[in-house]
Amino acid sequence: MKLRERDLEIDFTDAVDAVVFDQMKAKKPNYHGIDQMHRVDFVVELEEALLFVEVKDPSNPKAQAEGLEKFYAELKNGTLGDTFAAKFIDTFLYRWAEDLLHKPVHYISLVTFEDSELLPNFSDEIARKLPPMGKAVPRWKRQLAQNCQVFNIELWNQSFPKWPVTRIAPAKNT
Amino acid sequence: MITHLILKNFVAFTDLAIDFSPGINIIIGENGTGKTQLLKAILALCGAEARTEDAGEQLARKLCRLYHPLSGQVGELRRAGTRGESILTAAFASGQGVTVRFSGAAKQAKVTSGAGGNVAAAIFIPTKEVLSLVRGLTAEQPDQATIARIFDDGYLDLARQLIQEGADDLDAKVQLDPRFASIVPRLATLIGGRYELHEGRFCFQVGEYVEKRGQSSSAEKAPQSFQDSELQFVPAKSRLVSSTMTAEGFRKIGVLQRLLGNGSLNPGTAGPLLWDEPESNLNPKLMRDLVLALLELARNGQQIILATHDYVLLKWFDLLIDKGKGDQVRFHVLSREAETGQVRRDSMDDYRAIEPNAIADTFNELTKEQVARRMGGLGK
Repeated sequence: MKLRERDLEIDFTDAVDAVVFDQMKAKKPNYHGIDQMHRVDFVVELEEALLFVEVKDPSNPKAQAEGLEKFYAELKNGTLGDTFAAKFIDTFLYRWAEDLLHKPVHYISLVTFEDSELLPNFSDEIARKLPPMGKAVPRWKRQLAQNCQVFNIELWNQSFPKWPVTRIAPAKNT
Repeated sequence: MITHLILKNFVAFTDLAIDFSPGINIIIGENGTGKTQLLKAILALCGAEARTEDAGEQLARKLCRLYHPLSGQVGELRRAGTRGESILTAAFASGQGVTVRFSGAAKQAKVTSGAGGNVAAAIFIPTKEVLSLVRGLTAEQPDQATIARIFDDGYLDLARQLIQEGADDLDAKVQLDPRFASIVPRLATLIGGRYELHEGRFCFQVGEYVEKRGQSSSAEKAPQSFQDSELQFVPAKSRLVSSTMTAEGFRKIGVLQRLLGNGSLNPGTAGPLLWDEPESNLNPKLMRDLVLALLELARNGQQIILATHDYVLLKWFDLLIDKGKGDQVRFHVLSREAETGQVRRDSMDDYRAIEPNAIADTFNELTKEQVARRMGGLGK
């Protein structure tokens, strides 16, 4: 099942279901409808797990200088990590309300960093911002996310050969 | 300043040629690719021995003191399994040049050095710290033979440079010379004080450089100083501490402080600063400031040649380099060819061109390990 976010397309070849979760066009299927809630781009259901997938493409050749500056400024001051965490939490609540949250969740994001050195740090930053915020909470019986990790295209493809990501030429308006 | 080096059939090298940048050179390689041997060769070729009357004997002895061959003879330094003599050739910015040759059975070397300007001696900072060694050398009757058996000349040369008295009024230098004003206080801030030589041993004095207005003792010694405010080292009330009581990483910074203080390291006139693994025993948090200090030295005309296998150090250079300030950093990668066992060299001016880039590889390993542990076979 292929899902596309702008110029990046991921083919979840073994998915049971895969939806564009942040669908905000009312006439399209799976309309989300609550613009006050943060949303990840895709939710993918596998046999034994759910994937929440957020895609950011700072290496897009078409990216504007202004947008990139904002992206890296937000990465530096932590707001990008806050946003990634908020997207997970709100998506988690939404799926709970849909009664579609019965499998372990993996929050895997595709961020097209050129420097792969940034990936482990950013992954850990997001994970720290998800409840229980790195604290040991004996009352908790379950964890929200089994894994919270950020990949660039190269490492995504090496890690998940069944979900290949490709950069595609933008569709022409016909 | 060394511009070019050729090593043929010498220790780890069959045929190596390097063009050095006048700024910062970083020799990268895994263990056993000859990084330290390369630095020692430069140290030997920059030394006064090459330009003495009996250079052949002097230089052979120097090489033996640096490399400690088992037989004690220079011929043993010829690379085993190769044909032909060992040849070491260096060219310097002054127009000078020196070539050293010897055969496998040689007890002496043949040295030819071209006419030309003077060659300034290099300063070699080895991996282990040297400040504590100074006390052994300044003892009343040091046992030179034993010391020379334990420490090669890489250590002893530096220890001798550290003992040199020179003009040790670091404060006056900081006032007078913007080259020192930008580096010396930074080093003191880095380690929270400075090392001082007291009665033949190095001690650590806690303190910091602060900006003061008006006259001071060092300004009196330097009447040409025209600044109204000046930086001055203010010792804290705490007592002097033996250098052995301080962190080994700090002692390495202390070596740099002392060399600047006594004039051994005088950017613009000193020979190349050779530093073997600056990162060893250094708290990674100090790395950034150390790199800033090295860049500042290079901006003031100091040629620097580092050997490292720490890619974090390289990344700091990549991040902190300021081409607008004329920074020149060249990376020289030594690697051993799997088939022939020969050491080969690649040089590049861009960090991103370094292949293989172990820092990226290390982080990628972390990413893959996390996937394996948390997600098992998902997506595979």
